[in-house]
Amino acid sequence: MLRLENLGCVLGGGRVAALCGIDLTVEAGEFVFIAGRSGSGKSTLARCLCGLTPRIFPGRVSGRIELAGTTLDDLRPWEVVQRVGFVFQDPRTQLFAETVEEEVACGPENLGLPPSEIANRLQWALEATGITDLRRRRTDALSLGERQKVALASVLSLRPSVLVLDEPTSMLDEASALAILERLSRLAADEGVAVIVLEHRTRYIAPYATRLVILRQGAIAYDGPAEPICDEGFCRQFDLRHGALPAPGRAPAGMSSRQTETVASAKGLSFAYRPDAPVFSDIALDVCSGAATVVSGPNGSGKTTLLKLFAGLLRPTGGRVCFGNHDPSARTAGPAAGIAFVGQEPAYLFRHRDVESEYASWQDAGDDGAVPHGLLARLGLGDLRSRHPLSLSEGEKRRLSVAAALAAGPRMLLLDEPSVGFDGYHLDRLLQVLDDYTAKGGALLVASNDPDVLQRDWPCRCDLTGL
Amino acid sequence: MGFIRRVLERAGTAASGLDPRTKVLLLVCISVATLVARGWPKLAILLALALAWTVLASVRTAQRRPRLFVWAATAASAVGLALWAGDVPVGPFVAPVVRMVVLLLAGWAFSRSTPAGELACALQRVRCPKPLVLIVVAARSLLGLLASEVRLAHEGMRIRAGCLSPSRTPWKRLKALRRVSVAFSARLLLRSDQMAAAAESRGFSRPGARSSLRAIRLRLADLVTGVACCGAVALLCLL
Repeated sequence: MLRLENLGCVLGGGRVAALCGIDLTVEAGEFVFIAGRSGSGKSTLARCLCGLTPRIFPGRVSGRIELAGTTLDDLRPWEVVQRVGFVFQDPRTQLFAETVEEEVACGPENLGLPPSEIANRLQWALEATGITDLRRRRTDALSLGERQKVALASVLSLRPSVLVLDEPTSMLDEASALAILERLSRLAADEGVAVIVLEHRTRYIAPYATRLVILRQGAIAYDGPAEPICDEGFCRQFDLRHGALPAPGRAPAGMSSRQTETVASAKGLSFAYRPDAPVFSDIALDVCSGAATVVSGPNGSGKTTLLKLFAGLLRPTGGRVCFGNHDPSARTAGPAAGIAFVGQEPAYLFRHRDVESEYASWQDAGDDGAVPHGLLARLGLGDLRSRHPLSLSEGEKRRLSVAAALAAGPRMLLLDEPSVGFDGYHLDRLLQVLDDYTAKGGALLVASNDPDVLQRDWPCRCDLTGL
Repeated sequence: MGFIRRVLERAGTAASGLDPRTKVLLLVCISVATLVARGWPKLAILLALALAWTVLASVRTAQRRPRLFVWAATAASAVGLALWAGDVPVGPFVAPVVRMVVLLLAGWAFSRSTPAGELACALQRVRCPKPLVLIVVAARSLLGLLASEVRLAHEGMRIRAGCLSPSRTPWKRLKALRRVSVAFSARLLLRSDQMAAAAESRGFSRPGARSSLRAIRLRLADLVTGVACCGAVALLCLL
């Protein structure tokens, strides 16, 4: 079905060898997981597979990619999309239309299919991804997890024979992630679609994968059965997450003894983007210095909204949020100072042309003496100091934004889905850095639906399920 | 109240179910009439028409409502027209405002009630070249993208202001503004690349006609609306 021969890819004007000597054959009906450390070339491989590099994204591709006996170079772009479907890492960059229905129908419409066939494919794709109830919703009103499902449905509606998904579960809650993988697994088994999933959440690999491929520094380091992924030593060898066993968490007793004062609090908090659709109501939550609080809940439950309310980016429709004695949503710079928020799209925080000066710009403004040093190195960004922040991978962007936010020495740090794009090694590093931050008296509020984050020992939890 | 809402919802559904070509005709008619109309009665009729279309386009729960400033501008136009009707000499000031508001309302109602896919299909049916059709579809997406980027950039500025001390001297402020502009432009370039990739991975580059989920065809309601539009414009221009 899909054959790669000696595939190589050089990015950054010939400076970075992202892929080298990849030989891989994927047969119809196979469910292949591709894992690897952040920056190992997974996303580049996915872009090469569907021809986006070098057609859209710059890069020099060498070697041969063959789809069902035809070389990729011999196919025109619209012929490729009927054979290879690609779900991007960030669903925001994939959606075009205003409503879910239009979005999913967009691909078949471009192919000029008759309306009855478009309607059939639309219905099938919506059911396959479990979003039939979202059919009439506006895409810009969906949560990121819901958008991820829509992006998948919009690619499925093209009925490709090879499906490439770049971290399809990174923004989904566990139930949704399992449901999606279950459906993809059935798609591979029943309809012979070759499914290739690039993923950091290794806990999902063993039950579904027929094969595991691990990339290291742009080359295949392992290609074989998926069972070894359950072995902790194997995961550590390749810096992967090990989801089957509880990862080393932080002691709750130590955390609770550090709690000194309430830094921010919400009382009777309610919010609605539209009067007839409240996101949540009557929430009470205290965020204390020296303590970490994790906010969990299914996609669309309001985790991001809650963090934005604490950051002062939204005004509550009921109740109030206090940061010290101030309302953080008041548009005065002074009272809100001390809150750092790293959202789901951290790149909009960046202003500078390289990683080092970006980090330094946050450091300079921090309190004297309170600035943490060496965070870039601790978060694995030491070798990337000269790179442009926007050229980093998704995980690297998040690490930089967390490092920058911490460098400013905030009293309260708000992190929204901080683990997206993180391998096991960097996730452990991140949690250690955050632990140090709370140990020094910082107040931390994290929203996540990543089971590898939620299973840690968090001293305070806030579950938005059903609120 | 419930009865009125149900009637409005039915009318809204009927209006949004019109053939997109009829909606294009309606938009063109209103725009032309707005530009040629003189005197408060004609402008008042056009404002009422555009307002009615806006209400019908926004009455369904799935639709987004117009922003507050749209309603405020409409109210200000109505007040201006009332003063003008009461022989207060405000015509030279009110007329341009009313024209702007009518065009704004009609444009908003059109974009809300006509999905991009349907519009593209309608343009193809009136023999528009495919590049032009794709430009229209991409322009709609780009407007949304631009709006969301501006919102994110503003959010980023507020977040930075939340934990960093502001630039104190004008020179430093100017430098900060330059950095924001450069970063914003770089992000836009990146997003346009991503958008091109998304377009390509959905087969936008395929030659030949696009199809549409909803088969578009002219019905009796379209004919009635079309004739009424053309007639009304002719009357407004001639009288």
